[in-house]
Amino acid sequence: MRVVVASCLAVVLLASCSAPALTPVKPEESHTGILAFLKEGRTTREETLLRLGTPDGRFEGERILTYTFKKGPDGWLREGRAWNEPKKRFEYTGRSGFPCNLVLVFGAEGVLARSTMVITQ
Amino acid sequence: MRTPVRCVLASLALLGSTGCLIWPFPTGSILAGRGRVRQEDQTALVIGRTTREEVLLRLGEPDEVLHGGRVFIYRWTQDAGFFAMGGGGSAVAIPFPSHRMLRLAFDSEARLARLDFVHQDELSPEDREAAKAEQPGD
Repeated sequence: MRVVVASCLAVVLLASCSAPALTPVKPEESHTGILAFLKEGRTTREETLLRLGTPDGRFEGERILTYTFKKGPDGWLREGRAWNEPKKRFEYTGRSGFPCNLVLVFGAEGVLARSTMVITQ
Repeated sequence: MRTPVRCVLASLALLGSTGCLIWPFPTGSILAGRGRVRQEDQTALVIGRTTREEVLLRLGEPDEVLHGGRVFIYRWTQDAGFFAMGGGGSAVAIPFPSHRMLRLAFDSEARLARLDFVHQDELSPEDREAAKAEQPGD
């Protein structure tokens, strides 16, 4: 009887496994290491570009910039993307694990207004 | 007489050690893409109210940007179970991929105008044309 109950429980648990989802993380938790300079209300777009380089994505006339990172043992590492010709789209390359996406929203004066790191968990 | 019995027993043992299993339940793996978009995130996206900025802050950079930034595509592939086959001391498991796509269209004021959640990986003919026009090098 116990075996039957345990088997049923195992089936239910396995059946309810959910795949990792896109999850935004608050700046105070994610802006560490090379991202510690990012302060909402203080950091400028210019300083961001000088420190992090060319962004992976630009939206609404560069008001919103995105950068892709991977969490390494020593902190954040920039992640590259390459064009996949057969699939006709960009795909992340290199290190294993899910890429994390830094989203930076700048205000009218080019000062960081809002930001998140979207991770997969 | 004993040899045929042994042969039958050996055959039964061999049969017992081979077989296949179809597991029709998801095991929680992402096969392609950055990750799935949760149901609660989809319901938090309100047509006419949610802005492009809010979508980016919640879901990050989309997998595809079409029609000059008016359409965002988020796509992911998760397993929906697997088919496993074993025998002769080796085994193989093949996952059943389940493709998902979230298509978000924005109006001229950068507010969400349309949300489509589809169980497929293929773009609509209109989006495919837009993707072709916006691919690098063109």
